Amino acid sequence: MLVEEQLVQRAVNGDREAFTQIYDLHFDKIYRYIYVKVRSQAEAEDLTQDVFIKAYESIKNYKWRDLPITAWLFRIAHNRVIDHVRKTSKEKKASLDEAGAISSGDPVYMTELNFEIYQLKDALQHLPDAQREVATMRFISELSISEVALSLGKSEGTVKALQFNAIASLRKLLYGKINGY
Amino acid sequence: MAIRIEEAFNDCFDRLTIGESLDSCLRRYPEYSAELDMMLRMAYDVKRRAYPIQPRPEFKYWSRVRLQGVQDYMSRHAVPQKSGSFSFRRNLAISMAGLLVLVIASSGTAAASNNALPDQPLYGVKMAVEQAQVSLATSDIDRAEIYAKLAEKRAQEIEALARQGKAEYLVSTSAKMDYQLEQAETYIGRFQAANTVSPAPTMEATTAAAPADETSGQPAQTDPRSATQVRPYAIPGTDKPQVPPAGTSATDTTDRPNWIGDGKTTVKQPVPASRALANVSKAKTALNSSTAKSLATLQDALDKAPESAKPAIIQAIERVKKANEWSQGNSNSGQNYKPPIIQPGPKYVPPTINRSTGTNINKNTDVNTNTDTDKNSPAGTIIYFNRNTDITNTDKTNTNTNTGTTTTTPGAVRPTTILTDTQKLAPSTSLTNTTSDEKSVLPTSK
Repeated sequence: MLVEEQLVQRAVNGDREAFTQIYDLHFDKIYRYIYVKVRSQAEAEDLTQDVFIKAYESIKNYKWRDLPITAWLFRIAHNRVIDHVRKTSKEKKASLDEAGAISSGDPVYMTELNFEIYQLKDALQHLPDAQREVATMRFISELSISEVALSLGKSEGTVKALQFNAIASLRKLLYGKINGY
Repeated sequence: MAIRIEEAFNDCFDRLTIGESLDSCLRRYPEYSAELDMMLRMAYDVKRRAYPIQPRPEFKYWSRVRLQGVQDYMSRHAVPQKSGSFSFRRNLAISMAGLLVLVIASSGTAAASNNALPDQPLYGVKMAVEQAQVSLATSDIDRAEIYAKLAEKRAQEIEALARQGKAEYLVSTSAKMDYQLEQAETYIGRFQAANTVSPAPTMEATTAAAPADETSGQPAQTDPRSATQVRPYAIPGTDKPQVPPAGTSATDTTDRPNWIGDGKTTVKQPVPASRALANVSKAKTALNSSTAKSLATLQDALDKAPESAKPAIIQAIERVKKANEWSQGNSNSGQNYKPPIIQPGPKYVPPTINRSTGTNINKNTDVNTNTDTDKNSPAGTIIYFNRNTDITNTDKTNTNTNTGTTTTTPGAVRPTTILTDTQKLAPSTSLTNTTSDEKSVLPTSK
């Protein structure tokens, strides 16, 4: 049995420390995944907390053989974001001011970083849903192909094609059309 | 068979991630070299842009604190897993119980099981039907009346068992009767306590009135279901009480957190005093009538029972006498009523019977044992993250907020490449001509 699987089994059996370790392992990935899908940092923080609370409430019913823990957490995050976006879809779009990275203290540097993040978020919004999901999980949350495939319930071949098309689309959106891609 | 470009791209991306150089990767797929070069650079550009997206340290800290609060809360209360809304599941359970009663009753099995004794196969059906009857009751008074009738049935069973010389089942049947009488009294008491007309206490008055525990100095614990009880809000894991939110009255039951009661009890508006008295009187009359009949039955059983069975029957008679006296002594007033401590859904534990003597050897089957069920004081609030709380220095500094130690690590944010306007307008040149910054992002040839 893998170390991670053992850790998850301990969490399923009610070991709080094990769940905290799972939380530490996946927190940043989940946060980044949510951050690029919602309008503001505040929303991303609220939803990230909700995901882990929900995961803790449901961990007793979790079975590794059905879905690895990473894929399971991203499914919770995905559903939570869908619910949230559905509720807030009529509200205003994200502004540049709300695209925030960790503060570095240098306002010029931070402005540049925030602008690039804003561009990325905006470009992702223009992708088809499937491409956006794959690109977010693969390049922003840094999941493996198999984890993305399991999270989305698609085959690895499909995910590879989607990620390639997503990168081609992002290139067009961010830099214009190049050599047919 | 030639590999598809999507496969080649994925392979190269994974190889770059583990440290292989771009040139090395491209050499593996010469037929796609140009396209892969562009696409891989783009993929790394996305990664680079997303890299600064990190949760704020103070948010991570408070989020973890909140999770621990939830863990504390759930471990104290063993919150059941919810697969649907409570009302939906409750309604479904009631519907299924009703259906079960109908099916069983219409099949004739219920009728056949009505006179079943504990040693007979249909006794299980009889118990299931009785349980369904209790589940279908809609009020405490109804439940009390049903339990009184069920206790009477147990007395009849004791009489039948004694007559047939089946002493080994007497203790368990007697224990069931004891439990059902207890439940009848409890539900009457609860209804009475919830509908006693008294001035609405203030927060201060109520807490001041709570007698202090002599050993701990803490306010004594009272029946958790008392409709007028007020408990200070508490943060999980701490003993520090908090003032209820502004606008929350001490007696306000509408928006109170659900830590009152066992989750099964709904705090309702009291019924008018006259109707409440009538209901209590009706239930007590039913209990009185039931216990009177039970007494006669048990006295009859005592005469017929073998010597080994008599202690159990005498004990049952004593219990029924107490219930009978209770129903007579408190028939019209709730003022002097001292509610029994209600056990949150106590489960009947079948006694272990010594077959030779017919006595119960399981000491844990005393269903009258009223242990304090509220030792784990419910924690009321969940800490919500305060975005304005700045507890760490976020300027390229990682602060260990648990120990208070601070360590500075360079490069909390990876250096980035900012393309000029010209580069953005002419991406082919900016992406194919690797800049010095891009070299730091993409692995170079080894």
